[in-house]
Order: sequence, then structure tokens, then C-alpha cells
Amino acid sequence: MIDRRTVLKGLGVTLAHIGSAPALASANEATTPVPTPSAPMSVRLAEFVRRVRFEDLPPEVVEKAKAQLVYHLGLAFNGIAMQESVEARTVMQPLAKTRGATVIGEHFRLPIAEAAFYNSTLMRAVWRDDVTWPTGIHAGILIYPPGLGLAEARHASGRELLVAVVLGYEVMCTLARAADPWAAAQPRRPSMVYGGYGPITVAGRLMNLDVARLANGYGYAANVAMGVPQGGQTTQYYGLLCRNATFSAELAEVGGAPYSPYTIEGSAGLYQSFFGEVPANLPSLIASLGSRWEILTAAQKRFPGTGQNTVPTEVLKALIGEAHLTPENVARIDAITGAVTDSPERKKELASLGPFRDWVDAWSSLPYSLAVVLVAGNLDPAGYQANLENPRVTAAMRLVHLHTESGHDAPRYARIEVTTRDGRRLVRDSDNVVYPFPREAWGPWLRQDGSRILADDQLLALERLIADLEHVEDVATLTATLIPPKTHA
Amino acid sequence: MSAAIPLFDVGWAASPPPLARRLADYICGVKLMDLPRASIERAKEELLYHVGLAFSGAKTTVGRQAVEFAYSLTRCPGPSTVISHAGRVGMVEAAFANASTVRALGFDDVLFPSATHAGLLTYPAALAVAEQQHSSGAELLVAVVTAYEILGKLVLDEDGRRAPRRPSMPFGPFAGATAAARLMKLSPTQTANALGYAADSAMGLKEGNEQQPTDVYGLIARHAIMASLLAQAGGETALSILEGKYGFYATLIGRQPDPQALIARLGHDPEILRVTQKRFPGTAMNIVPVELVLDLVRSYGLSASNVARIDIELPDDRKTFEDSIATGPYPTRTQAESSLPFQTAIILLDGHIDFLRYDNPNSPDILAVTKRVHIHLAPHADSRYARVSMTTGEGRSFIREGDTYTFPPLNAVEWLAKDGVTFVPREQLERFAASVRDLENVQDVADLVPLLAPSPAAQSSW
Repeated sequence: MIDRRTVLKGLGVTLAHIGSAPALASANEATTPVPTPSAPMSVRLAEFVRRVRFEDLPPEVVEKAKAQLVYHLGLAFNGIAMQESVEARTVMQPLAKTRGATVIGEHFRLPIAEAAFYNSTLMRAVWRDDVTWPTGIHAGILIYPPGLGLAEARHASGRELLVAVVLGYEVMCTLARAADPWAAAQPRRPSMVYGGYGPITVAGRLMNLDVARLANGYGYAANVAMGVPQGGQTTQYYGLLCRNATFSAELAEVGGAPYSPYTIEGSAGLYQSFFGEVPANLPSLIASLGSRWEILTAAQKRFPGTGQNTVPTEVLKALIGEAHLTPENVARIDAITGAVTDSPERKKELASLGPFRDWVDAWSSLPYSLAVVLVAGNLDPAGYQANLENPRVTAAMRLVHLHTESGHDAPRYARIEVTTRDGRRLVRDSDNVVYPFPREAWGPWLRQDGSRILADDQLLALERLIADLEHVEDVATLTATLIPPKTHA
Repeated sequence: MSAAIPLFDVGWAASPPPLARRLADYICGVKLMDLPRASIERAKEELLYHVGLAFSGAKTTVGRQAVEFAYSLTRCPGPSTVISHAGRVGMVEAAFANASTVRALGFDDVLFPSATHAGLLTYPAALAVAEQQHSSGAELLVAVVTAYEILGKLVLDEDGRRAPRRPSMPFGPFAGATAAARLMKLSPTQTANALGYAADSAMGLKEGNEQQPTDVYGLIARHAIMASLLAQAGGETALSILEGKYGFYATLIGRQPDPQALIARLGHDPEILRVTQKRFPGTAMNIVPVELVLDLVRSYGLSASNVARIDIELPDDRKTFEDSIATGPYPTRTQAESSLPFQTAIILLDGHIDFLRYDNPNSPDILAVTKRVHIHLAPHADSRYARVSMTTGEGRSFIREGDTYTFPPLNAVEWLAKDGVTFVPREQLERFAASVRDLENVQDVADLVPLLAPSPAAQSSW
């Protein structure tokens, strides 16, 4: 078992206002297939998924799908030795097959759903998988594992995989825009409600399910919504969700059980069961599929902690760099975020001053995140863990005062106001943080931990195959690079 | 490193242990000698019942599909038996296939008042794990009785009747996880985590009552085994995942149990003795009124030709189960199966329940009778209560009332052979039945379960 490592050093950070974020502004409006307005929602989703072609995807969407694949594979290489992964391997190894889907970094294979469980667990193990905004879904770890497994098994092309992945983000996050589970009377993580739609969309597209079968697959998606938000995240949770949804998609393909076509909008369907009502904006959101490209809202992480704290932390980091701030010369830090719909309990987590039992316990604390940055000047995985009992950090946390403020459309808006001991007042804000992940960063990212598992030529091939994924004829050639050579065993 | 707060790192001197841990202590502490003889015999009876159902289900399209799917996933031999099929598959695949075949006809046992499908949620997982673990018959019995006990007691009495989801959906994984944890000999800490994983895998919506998916139970069986496997490997879940402010009860059920009272009830008034089998398709909620109707018809020679009106009083929680009181027409066969007016009509037409009637639920003669059925909903403490009144064309009324019904014991061999001989020789079924009757003395369940599968040579001759 190892601790989390520092990764992605030196990639740089851009603070950007969301209004000028290029990807969101250039969303494709040419695709927008029009679902049948009177059809059940699950049918309309299926119609959309069936209609989208690779040519409908804007170049930046395709590039983002590749980048997120690289990102999550790098996370998997990083996570392979984590305890969570070791436990998953212990369970999965007895189920090993000589045929089946590729298991990252292993010589054995697994049935597709079990491989999705394991690979998703690897990608999640260092807790830095991507999160979509404003929907708050851990999308990548739910989408790429079944996507890779099914594309490999069916010898799908790279184009087919790319389309499937983009659609997985699109369907899952569009549904999530309708209602925020954190704000529900019985709050829960968004992935717990909507998570099944990602794997089933990816799988359904790669399986080439017809509208009826895919719509029935969405019946499964509603019914595999699972998870209890109490006390942090159960280990392997996302892997389990991925496994169940992938298995359900396989059932849907062979016929499966007939679900009601109204599992989304029905009187005992998804929204009624989790929110007590069907959101009024649901039809318009469904009609908007393909106009926003939700994958562009997926944010990577460069340091531990909830993605909700990324923007204020980066803003403070920028101020520290500009004004040479230290714990000694700062009198007070006011952190202002948008008036989000978090539950009172979630707000307590975000405002927690500790003491923290471990780094997971500190995960949501904005005071901790800001204090570590102030004390250490940066925030990396090692620093996040090392400062849990640092008295300077504890003292710096007490300088932090949290506020919310209405009137900000951007879901990640944050403003930091620092008052120094000599009376200066420094203010900076941002709507969003976009971490650049250009192609030249892909290779170093994959090699950082991948070189312990795979040969250099494999990693190079992997990087090139992903970079040129739309021209890869068979994704199995890509997944083959994820199996270590015998000499690395 | 762990994602959740570890169960074993927290001192409990100042407060009682979390509910999951207290349940785990109970699960790990049950001994065969502590179980009432009636519970043990009932566990055997339910095993035979569900195996018979699996044979029947294996003859259906749904059952065959599930079995074929399990084999397609396995791709190479595993340690576990699929009832009715030669060749062996992985443990989770076997549990999935067996749960699907057991459920294929819509029969299985139901616990009251929790209204959970206990046998379906317990036996497929338990058999798969016991076979893989080479558990003894005694261990299997303890695991099964304990699983029923945990499942039934976790459901607060009211939940079975008013939950926004069918009770088996959120509570289902606890049964299989309990049985699996016990059979895997997990420690109390591991068992508590297995229950935590079970809580986290609770799933399912009520939408589409009329089309209750059969493979939901197979999925739950997979979850249950996985919960115990992960806990065995060291996986951890939140300390208070059941009773916490954002725990299982709060977020899925909408109310909290009294942990002290719940724990105190364990082992008393055994849940497995509350179970009701189904001998005909449809909801178990209708068993009492259907049997009352059958009794009236047989006792007084009543029929569709001489009964002008049927009044049935039921508990008012039926208003949330519309299919069960629908008078037709019936969009699907399943909706007809759930309908008490439908079942009443076919009994009045035929004098008994003819399963072939389910194939044509909207025939005019049936709908003509369902229109004579008048349902009255009123508050009743017992969810199974029913009062049936039949009035003849001459104005005479006949009334029956009840809140429970127990089917006579099965003739084990005949029950198994009814459809089982399609797959395995009768002699093999006789051996299985005899072994189950003496299950506490069976050394290795792995010697028992394969009796439910044909030899490869026999299967190839089908």
C-alpha cells in the first residue's frame, strides 16, 4: 500500500471566467437531433443516443474525450497500489478468466462488468477523478471503464468509443441538470442518482442497441441508482455502481426484464422517488441534448479535496503568489462562494475546522485547503496529508471565514478577500478553473506512474493511439497496451 | 487509507456501538442449537420450495435467458451449480441465474409484515456461497435462518406497507449479505462492513408496478455476495451507515428505527416462521382473500353464474398498490396476476385457479365477473386482513374473514419432480429431498447442490 503521490507537477493552471471559457461557448448546435416530444423520456434519450454521429462532435469535444481518457488511465496507474485497489484485486482475482476484458496492469482478464468494477476502482483510488460542473458527477470513472471493456470486446473503432463516451457524459449530466440531489430533502451525491445513466449509455451505444432496447436499458439505469451518503464514500462505491450498470446494460442487450418506459418521469420514477417531483425543466433539458456537450464541463483535479474547493483554493494561491502572503502577514481570509443549494450538513463539511482523523476526513474542508496553501504555498497530495496535525495550519484555518453570496450565475464562483496585518485588503475572484491538459502533457502524465507497470514502448503506443483515436480501427489494440509485459509481472 | 471511517478504530465506551456492528455481533453469534426446531424445519421447507420454483422457472423463456446469460459471462468453468443446468459457473453468476429462475414465474415466499421476498433474496446467494465454501448443512441452515431474521427485523413494521419503494428493493441486499457473511465466516467487523456494502447497494424504484422486473432479484443476489467479498477483503463502509443522519434509513426509508428495540427483538418471534409461500401467481398480499374466495366457492357451490356481487374489504394501504385491486382490462399479464378482482373472477368461473387463465386476462367472461367485484378499503392493523362477502342473485350473502393463511406442507419429492424431472432423474431429486430433510447432518453442501443439475451427458441429449 502506498500513499497518494504528487502528480501533474508543472502543468500550470489558468484561472478563467466561465463566460469566456472557449469550450462551453462553442458548443455544437448543428447536431441537436430532435427527440419525439410525446415519447417517454427514456425513449427520447435513446433516440438521441442512436442519432448522434462522430461527425456531429465538435473538435474540442473529441479532444476532451481523449484527454479525459489519458487522465483517467494515469489515475489508474497511480491508484493501482492503493489499498482500495488491493481489496478489489483480492476479490476479482479468483474470478479471473483467460478471456474477457482487459484489466489494467494485470495479466488476467475479467467479464466486462467485473473489469469495469476493477478499472473504475483503480481510477478512483487516488480520489482525483474528474467531476462535471455544475452537476457534480464523477463521470469519467463511470464512463471510461465500461467503454474500454465493451469497445475491446466488440472490436469497436476508436470513433465509436469516442462517440459513446461523449454521449455517456451528455445523457448523465443532462439529467443531473434537472435536479440537484445535494439539495433534496434526503440529500445524496449526484452520482448516486444519475450514475447508472453513464455506463448504460456508453454500453448501449457500443452495443448498437436499438431504441427500444436502449430505452429499456434506461429503465435499468433508473433502478440501479444506489448509494447512501452517510459518513464519506464507501470504498469501491463507484466501481460497484459501474459494475451493476454495465451488467444491466448487458442484460438489456439480451432482452432483459421489461421496465416501464416511464422510469424517469413516472409517478414513482427516478425524480419522484428522489426529489418528490418531476422538474419542470426536464423536457427542455432533454430537448437540449447535444447543444451543450457536457463533457466540456468535466474538471480534472490537481490536488486532493472536493472539487467544490478548487476555485477558491486556486484564487488564494494566485493571491499568495502576487502578494507574498504568509500566515504571519495575513490577519483574515474571507472566502465567498456562490449561494449553492448544499444541504446544511454539506455546508458543515465544507466549513469544518477539524480535528481530522485522516485526509479523507479533511476532504471537504475549505479552511483546511486554504490553510495548507497559505502555509505551504501550494497544495499537493503529499502536503494535503502531511499537514493534518500541523499547528501552523490549524492556526491558519482560524483566519478563514466562509460566506455565500447570491447573484453569481457561475456554479463555481469564488472570491477571496485577504486582509493583511498591515491593513492591506486584497481581493480576487474567479468563475472557474480550467487546468490545461495539452497533448504534450499526456506522455509525462502516463509515464509518471505507468512506467512502473508498463514498458516504455507500450506507454508510447498508448499515448499515440489515444491521440489518434478516431483513426484506430479496433480499440482492442489500445487496451492491449494496458497489459504489462511478462517481464514487468 | 480508507474512504470511510473504519469500524474498528472507534471506541464505544461512551455510546452504544453502531447498529451495523450490533447486527453483526448477532449474526456472528447465532448457533444451530439456539434455533427453534420449527425454524430449522421451515428453512428446509423453504429450500425445497424455492428449488422447485427454480426448476419451473428454468422452463420459461425468462429463466432460460438468465441461465444462458450466466454461462455467457463465465466463459470458463466455475465452482458453482446452476439449478437445472449442467456445467458450472462462477459464484455470482450462479446466484444471479438461480435467483432469476426462482422468480421467473412470479412465485416465491414472502415475509409478513415486512412484505419482503425473503427466500428469493436469501437462498440463491446462500446456495452459491455454501457450495463454494464447502459449508456444512448446519452452517447453511444457520445462515438462512439468520438472513430471514435480519431482513424481517430491519424492516420496520410500517415500512412494508407504506414505503415509497417495494421493501425488497432497499432491504433486499441485507438478506443475501447476511447469509454470505455467515457462510464465509466473516468477523463481526467484516460482517458489519458487509451490511454497510449491502446498504450502499440498495436500489430500485417502484415505477412500473405492473412490470416487476424478474432480474432485479438476480442483481440483488450479486450485490449481496459482492458485499461480503469486499468486506472480507478489507473494504470498509461508514460506521453509522444504517442509522446515521444521512444513512440508509434516513435517505431511503424516511424514518429511523429504535436501534435498541430492533436489537432486542432479534431471535424472538423468528421471522422465518412468518413466511408465506405462494402457490399461484400474483402478489402474496392477495393470498388470504383468494383463499377466502376459494373456501366460499367450495363450501357453498358459488360460481360466476349464481353470484351477483362480490364485496371485499381490504386494508387501506392497498390504495398505493392499485394493480392489486384493479378490475381490468389488464394491460399486461403481470397486472392481472396482481389483481384480486381478476383472481376472484377466474375462481368463480372455474371453481379453482386455472393458470391458463393468466394467458388471456381480458377475455370477456373474466371481465364480466371482475365488474361485479367491489373493493372497500378501510383501516386495518394487519396488512393481510380481508373480508369477502358474496351475494347471490337470489340475495343470499356468504361471508368469510381472515388475516392469515398457511398452505399445507409440500410433498417434497412431488414438488421437485413436477418440473425437475425435465432436467434431472427423479432418483436424484429424491436424494436431494432426503438430504435436505436431514440437512443439519450434511457434511458438505457442495455434495448436495450438484444433485440439482443434470450430468453433461444427460443435458446434451435434450
